[in-house]
Amino acid sequence: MNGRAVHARPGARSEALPPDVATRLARLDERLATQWQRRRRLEIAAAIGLPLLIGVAFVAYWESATTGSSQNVLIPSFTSFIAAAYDQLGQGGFWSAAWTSESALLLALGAAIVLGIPIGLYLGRHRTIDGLASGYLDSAVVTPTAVFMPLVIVGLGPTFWARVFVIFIFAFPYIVLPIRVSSSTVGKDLTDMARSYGASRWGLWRDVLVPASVPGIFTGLRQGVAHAFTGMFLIELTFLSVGIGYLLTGYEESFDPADVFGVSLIVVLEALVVMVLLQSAQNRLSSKWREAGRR
Amino acid sequence: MAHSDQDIMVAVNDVSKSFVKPGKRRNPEILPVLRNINIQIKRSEFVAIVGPTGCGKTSVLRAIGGLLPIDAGAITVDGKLVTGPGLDRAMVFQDATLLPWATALENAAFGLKQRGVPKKQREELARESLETVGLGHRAAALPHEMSGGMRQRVGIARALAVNPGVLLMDEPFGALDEITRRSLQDELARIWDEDRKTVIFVTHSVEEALYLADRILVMSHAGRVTDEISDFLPRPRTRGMESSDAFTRQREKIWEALS
Repeated sequence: MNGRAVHARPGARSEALPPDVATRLARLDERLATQWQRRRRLEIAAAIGLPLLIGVAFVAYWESATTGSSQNVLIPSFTSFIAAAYDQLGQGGFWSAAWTSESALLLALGAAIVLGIPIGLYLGRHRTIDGLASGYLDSAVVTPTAVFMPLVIVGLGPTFWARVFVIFIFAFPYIVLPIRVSSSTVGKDLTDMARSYGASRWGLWRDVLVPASVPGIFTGLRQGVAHAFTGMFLIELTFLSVGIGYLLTGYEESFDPADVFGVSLIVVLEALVVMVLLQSAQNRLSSKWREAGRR
Repeated sequence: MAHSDQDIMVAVNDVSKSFVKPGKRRNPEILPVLRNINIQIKRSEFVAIVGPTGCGKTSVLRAIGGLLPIDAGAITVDGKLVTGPGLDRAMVFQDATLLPWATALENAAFGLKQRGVPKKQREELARESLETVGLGHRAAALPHEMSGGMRQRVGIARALAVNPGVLLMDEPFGALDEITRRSLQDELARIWDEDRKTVIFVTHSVEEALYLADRILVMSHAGRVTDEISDFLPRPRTRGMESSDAFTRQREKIWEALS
């Protein structure tokens, strides 16, 4: 048996055809290929050029609206805050503040990921336990987590661990939820297949459930990172003036918007880089996870 | 048909199974699926089970495969009681059920991995199985890069790789187009001719059952085996037999049994 599907090979239709028909069809194929390439180039140009154009237009408008204007007190010119951001990177004070903030962020996010992934996977496969946890998880996403910050401060004091805890409760539900959904929707046919081939509980998790949940895991990671940064900013700007929050508060109080924007830009860029890396990793894997057996 | 105990590979004795679903006023509704099924399958026999949708033919297969617990009776495979899935049986599912993130080779080696076979050895065995089904050149392909027929052949390779005593096939070609289906039927017939495994093949196609099987069990909507047909065509089977009088007679006989 050859097993080849019945389909036309490129150029196959030129076989066994009169020469003039074959020539005409070959020219048609060429024209179609050229049109496709032209369209593809336009798509790429639009995908890169359009955002670039909008960005340049926005920056130009921002610069012209703020240069020499009284609005500078609140909103710096684009060039001034880029310069401020660049200056910050050369200052030891910035890096010290960044480490103060990032150490809490890394610990909290790390804990949220280490706990959130297995918990999300487990909840997706155990309906009874999931029923018990769903009350907390569902209310966590509809309730502004910020309302719990004063309680945390009262409970743990204005400490490093209070910051870690706040960032953790910001990130944790958003890591768990997509993973829980992903895990719960792994098709019964896949798990039956695995069982039919003698997969143990460990083998089922290792070879089917966890790989099948990878898209949900990446979604959870991206959402968790985003909310972790939000939590870090909020706690440091409101209740505990330390780290980046302390820097920003200080610059605000001294009416230095360029430095406020500059510092914020650096942190936002950091978060964006992490998100882009995660998205990129997810995109590279997603071609394998296509048609992921959802039933 | 009585067989000696040593001949019997699969024995289904007085097996019954019902599903329970919530009914009105919290009274459960009992849905009988299998009613006192008795089947004996010899070693190296190719048995097809035909019947209308919902007659329980897949349930019989899943019960033999250990995926469906039964309510009454007993199932043995090679003399051992079936209490769950086992190394002696391998299943081929209707829609191939491949792991979407794994290559053809990794999918074919899946059963071997669950059995603890070392990586190098399981890749060799999986590669051999893929060669058997004509897909040795597509070992690195992912499922979405393959046609439906190719995916189903990987499913068959996965089952063959573990060298089971019994091959359980649940409408494996049901989701395929006619051309691919006929091609795979020929492929399966060729593989079976070389290997002579015990095969239980569920299908809703009477023609497919006649072309492939030594014996055909007919099931009814009541979850019972109502008829049995054997010795209907000589082996080896050829496509020319499909237009023979014997084939037509048996086909009409089965249709009568189904109606």
